[in-house]
Amino acid sequence: MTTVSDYKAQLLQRLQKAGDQPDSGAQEMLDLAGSEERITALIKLLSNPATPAADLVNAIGTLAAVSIFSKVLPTQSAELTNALRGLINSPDAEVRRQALSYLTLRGDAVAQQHLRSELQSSKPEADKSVPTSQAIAMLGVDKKAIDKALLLNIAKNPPDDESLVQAVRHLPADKDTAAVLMGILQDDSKPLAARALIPDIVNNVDSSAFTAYAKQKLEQYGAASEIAPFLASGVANIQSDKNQHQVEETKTLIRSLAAEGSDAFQKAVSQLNNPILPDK
Amino acid sequence: MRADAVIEAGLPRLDGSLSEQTFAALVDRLRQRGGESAPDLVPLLSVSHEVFRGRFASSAARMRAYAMAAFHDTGLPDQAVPYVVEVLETSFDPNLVAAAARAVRGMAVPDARLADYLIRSIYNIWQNDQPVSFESYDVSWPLTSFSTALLEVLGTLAWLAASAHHVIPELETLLSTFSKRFNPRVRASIAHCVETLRSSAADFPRTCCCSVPLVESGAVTGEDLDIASIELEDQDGRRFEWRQFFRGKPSALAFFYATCMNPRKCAQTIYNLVNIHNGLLDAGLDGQVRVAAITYDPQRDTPAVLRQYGESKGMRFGADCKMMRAPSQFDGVVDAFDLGVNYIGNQVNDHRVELYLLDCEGKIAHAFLRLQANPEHAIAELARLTSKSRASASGQ
Repeated sequence: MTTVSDYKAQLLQRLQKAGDQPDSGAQEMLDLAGSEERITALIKLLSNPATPAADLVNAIGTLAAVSIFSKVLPTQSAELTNALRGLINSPDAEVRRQALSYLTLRGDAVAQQHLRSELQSSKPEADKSVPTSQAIAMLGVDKKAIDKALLLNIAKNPPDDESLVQAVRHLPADKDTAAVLMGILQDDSKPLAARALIPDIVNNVDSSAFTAYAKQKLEQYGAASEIAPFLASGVANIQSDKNQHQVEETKTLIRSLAAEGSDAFQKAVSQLNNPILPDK
Repeated sequence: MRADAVIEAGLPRLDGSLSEQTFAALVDRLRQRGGESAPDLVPLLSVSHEVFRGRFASSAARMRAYAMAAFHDTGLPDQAVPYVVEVLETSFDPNLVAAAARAVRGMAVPDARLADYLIRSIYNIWQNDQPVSFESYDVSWPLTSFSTALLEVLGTLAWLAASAHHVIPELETLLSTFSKRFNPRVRASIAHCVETLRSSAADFPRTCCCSVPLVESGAVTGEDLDIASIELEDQDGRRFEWRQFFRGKPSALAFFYATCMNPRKCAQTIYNLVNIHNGLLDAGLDGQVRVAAITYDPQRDTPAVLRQYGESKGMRFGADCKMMRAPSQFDGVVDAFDLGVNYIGNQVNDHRVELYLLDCEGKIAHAFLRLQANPEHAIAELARLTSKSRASASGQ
């Protein structure tokens, strides 16, 4: 059997070569990352109202890349935050998006509050700093920045399909969300990308309703429907359950459909044989 | 609504429904009234105040910071000092740290004991210094000139003048060893601070330094908690009533939650509890004292999470050492202990550090709040409670 060790010499040689000859782009970034003057200049660029939008986007992108490894940039965090907060309301959509993205990735309270206010407002989608779907994704980086009530409102009345997907993705699994999520799962008109997330959210919260729906759907359409693999996976991941009989019946049904199912369905069937231990 | 309207309309309902702007207007009004209103601001520093219920963590922090910063203008009353110290010791929020530093400058007389907390706060925020403004609540960004949390802390150290002379070596270390962690503006501020402390110490040599702690742990005359029948569940899913664990032997009880992101709070609380437990074993008190940690977040902290979290921190689980949740009656525990915790929905938005020592009847005998307990102090208190328990059992 081939192992990593077989490639060790080759890998070391490639690393050595790479270490000897950093490409010019990488060297440029390394130089920038260590330069107080150049980072200060970039931040000043962000603070200058005359800077063209394209240059602002480039500067934010460069700073975001450098922030991963620069020891100088954290010393300028206050100046950078001040400049970026000033760009949240930029007339250029991409500048706004980049500024909000940078700030929210670092848990900035001002950017979070700005996005939450817009999500709670009745502003038309086109007038928002970023689309609702992006705002949810940005706030979702910090679990304490977005709450269930706000997400439920969006899930019930999404401005577009992508927003529904993001709202569902970030909703917690509990009794308050289960009914809304089950409603979306059962609605064939909703996007599959959103429905597919739901079985593994609701399966251990309202296993009875979920199993009943999964069984009925699989009996009706077999393994052929697009949602079938996700239903099977949801059933396979049900942990300890009061309705064990109903769950076992559904599992039996799923196994019987395995031969006709897609690869994804068969993968879900294989999960039935590797149950997750119950959360005591 | 302006502050005047708030006051003239009578006190607004200080709960989660109050808008942040109305809260800020109220603080502004109190600030304008000066020293007489300082005591009215103190309750607004408590994380468990009703006004912070249902707020996002960052909003609650911003509101508390705004109220705390007002002490710069009203004067800092003694009752507010523990809150200020708590923030300097445990907070990583630049707004709160800056506000605490500003509040210190509202003291009538500089207090040397605060200098050490201010130095520690530098290490909490130096990787995440941020622009701050307390002139008004809503700010139009970008600011043309601004202060930062680090600059506020350094400004306050300079304000302490001769009282902070003893931290000059710490500041010099920042300049020599950690110079590259600061930008030129902050480096200049540190240098200025050192210079100010040196010159003020020469002009006004410090004569004494009070050794009494700023936040004292407190002996409590315990009352019945009235939660004896509350159901608890431990890290193995075993369920039992409160009285079954917390009666019969003295106990150390900490509160925490597993997803707390502040390393100075929950993680440190549990490490501290483990140290206390180990110290009890070393002191030969094995089997005579119980050790427990109860989560603030019974929904997310399932038995499996509790076990994993406890094991990762070195908890030695056993009959007398458990992590627990109150699956359906945690509100009763919050009320009984008057816990310093608040929520948005069922998610914690802020909390304080809390360790209680209970006697063998399950009554609170000692409380270590806001700052981590000194393990030796806690062990000594538990040994005392154990002796008292033995004495009363033998009828002495």
